[in-house]
Amino acid sequence: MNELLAAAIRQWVPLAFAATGGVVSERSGVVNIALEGMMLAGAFASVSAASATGNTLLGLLAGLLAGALVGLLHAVITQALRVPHILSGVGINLGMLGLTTYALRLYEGGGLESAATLSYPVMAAAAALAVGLTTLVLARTPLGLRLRACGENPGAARTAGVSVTRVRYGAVVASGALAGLGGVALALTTLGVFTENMTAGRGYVALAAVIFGRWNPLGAAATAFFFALGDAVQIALQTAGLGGRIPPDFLSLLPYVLTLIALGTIRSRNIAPAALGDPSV
Amino acid sequence: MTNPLTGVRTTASRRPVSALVSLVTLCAVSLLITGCPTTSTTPPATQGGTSTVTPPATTSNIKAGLVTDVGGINDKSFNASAWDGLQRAGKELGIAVKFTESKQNADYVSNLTQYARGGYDVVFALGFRMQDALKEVAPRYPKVKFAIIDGDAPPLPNCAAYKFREEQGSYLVGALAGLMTKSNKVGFIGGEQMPLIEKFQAGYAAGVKATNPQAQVVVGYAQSFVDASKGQEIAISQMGSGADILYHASGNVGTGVIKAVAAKGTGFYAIGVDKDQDGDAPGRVLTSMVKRVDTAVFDVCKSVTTDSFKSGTVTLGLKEGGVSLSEMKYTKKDVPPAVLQKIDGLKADIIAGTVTPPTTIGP
Repeated sequence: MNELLAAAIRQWVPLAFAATGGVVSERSGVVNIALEGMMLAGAFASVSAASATGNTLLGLLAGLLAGALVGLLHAVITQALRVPHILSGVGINLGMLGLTTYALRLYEGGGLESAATLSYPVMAAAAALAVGLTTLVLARTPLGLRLRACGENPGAARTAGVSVTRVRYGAVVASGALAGLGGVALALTTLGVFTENMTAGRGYVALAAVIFGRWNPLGAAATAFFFALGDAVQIALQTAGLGGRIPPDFLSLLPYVLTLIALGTIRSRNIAPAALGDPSV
Repeated sequence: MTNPLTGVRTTASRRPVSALVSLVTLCAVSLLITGCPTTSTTPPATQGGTSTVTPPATTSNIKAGLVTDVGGINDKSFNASAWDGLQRAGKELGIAVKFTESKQNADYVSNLTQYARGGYDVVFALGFRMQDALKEVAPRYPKVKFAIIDGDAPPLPNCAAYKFREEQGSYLVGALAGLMTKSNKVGFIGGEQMPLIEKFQAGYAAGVKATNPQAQVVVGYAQSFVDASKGQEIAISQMGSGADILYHASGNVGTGVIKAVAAKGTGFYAIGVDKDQDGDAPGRVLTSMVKRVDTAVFDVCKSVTTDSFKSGTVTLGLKEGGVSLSEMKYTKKDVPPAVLQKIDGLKADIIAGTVTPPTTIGP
């Protein structure tokens, strides 16, 4: 039981960072399917920096910065160039996959490893802190109010003197930094290795957690935990020998099916930010 | 756009156009960045900083192209091994070589066609996923030779298929695991569950059973060939249940498996696959089930240069040197000589045909 919980927490950490980032961006009105690319950039940068310096803290910072930079790119494309948000996200995800794969090639032997790694308890605490702080900032501070206003009614926010563009730039960059930390958690925590496309769709899973969590950091983190627990259970069931009887593909489907059922049966209004995907500036 | 009622040009006309322009720019930029599909002659950092694969001072003007499956050239196993073989062919046979990576299954036809139309003499298709694409492309270019590795080729005079008896090599590593396990429990970690990977599993389980009938084999599939973190989790789970030797057939997922075993330390072993992975965690990778994809690729190139290309299916097993155990550079000292002798005996039995490892898992 303890082992199962530990496995679930290990898998929760990257998802929690990325999902929190997703909430921040989407509450400001910017759709963020670029989480996958941001995580991948963060994962690559962190292992790359840690391997070069032997310092995990520098690795962590590099991952955070790389994510933030990708966030800035997403902000520029969606806000300054007014490209539809989904399109920008798809472009960024493809671009980051290509870029990190290409960069990985430049390493001798095609491998990128760091002997020094971060520990899970520390990263799990950091993830919990990020979720808590984001909840507080969004719900209790003037900044949070402005950010939410930009996502609900940018026209009104502008009338009140809020620079919607600036708030959204900030939100998307912060979102990228958080997703970058998700990548750090994935690659540099105990594993200490970067492999091609190693995020394997976790950015999309995090986005699903944002939506199922009703654009609320706590809800998103809880949903992410549910997904992670489901995956841990799925692996434990395979180890227990159930894989032969039930196809593993079906077992990995379980958490998602359960989430859909839970959401379908809990009555609640749709609380997507009203101006999500809004191109106006 | 001019309003038909008032004749006034509205500013609305600017937005769609500028949006379109930026959209096109974005697409172009992202395509530039991804280079999808990536075409490159840059070797994926193989033997320390080789920067060119263009043959030095040779007269042969044969050109060989290689199309990877979605695993990518850098997978440290199947695709990378094929590229090693092609690079060796480039150096030793003096032919021009190049590779193209497929980012998704939909790329196979266009990537194969690109080489066939580009005047290449021989084109390699890597992986069973490319079977259908080959069937579509090969008849249109009868002068080009095609070789598919790990898949079936259409019955055409310009097509050859190279397959490996993975179950034979897997049987041997299973036998070794059965003799080396202290807990009487060993693990198998597969990538996606499909007949090819089940072949590894079936051979392995049979090998374990042959040398240690009491031993139990726990099985885990990652449903991925790229998710190293998942490999780590499955390995932790299996070791937590008491398994002390883990064999993986899962591409980059195995990177996580080997990491997890190395972290657990003495008393636990991983077994590598496809390429010699013993050096990935010296002392903690018991052996690797090496698939000589490189040899197959090299042989095909050689047959093309000597004009002796043969169509049809070639299956390479222990006998042909198509599969083998690694030399166990770091672990040989930890394995009792009697165990190594037993493995050699089983190998001889398989080659002689007295032992036939299964290719499918039982019910």
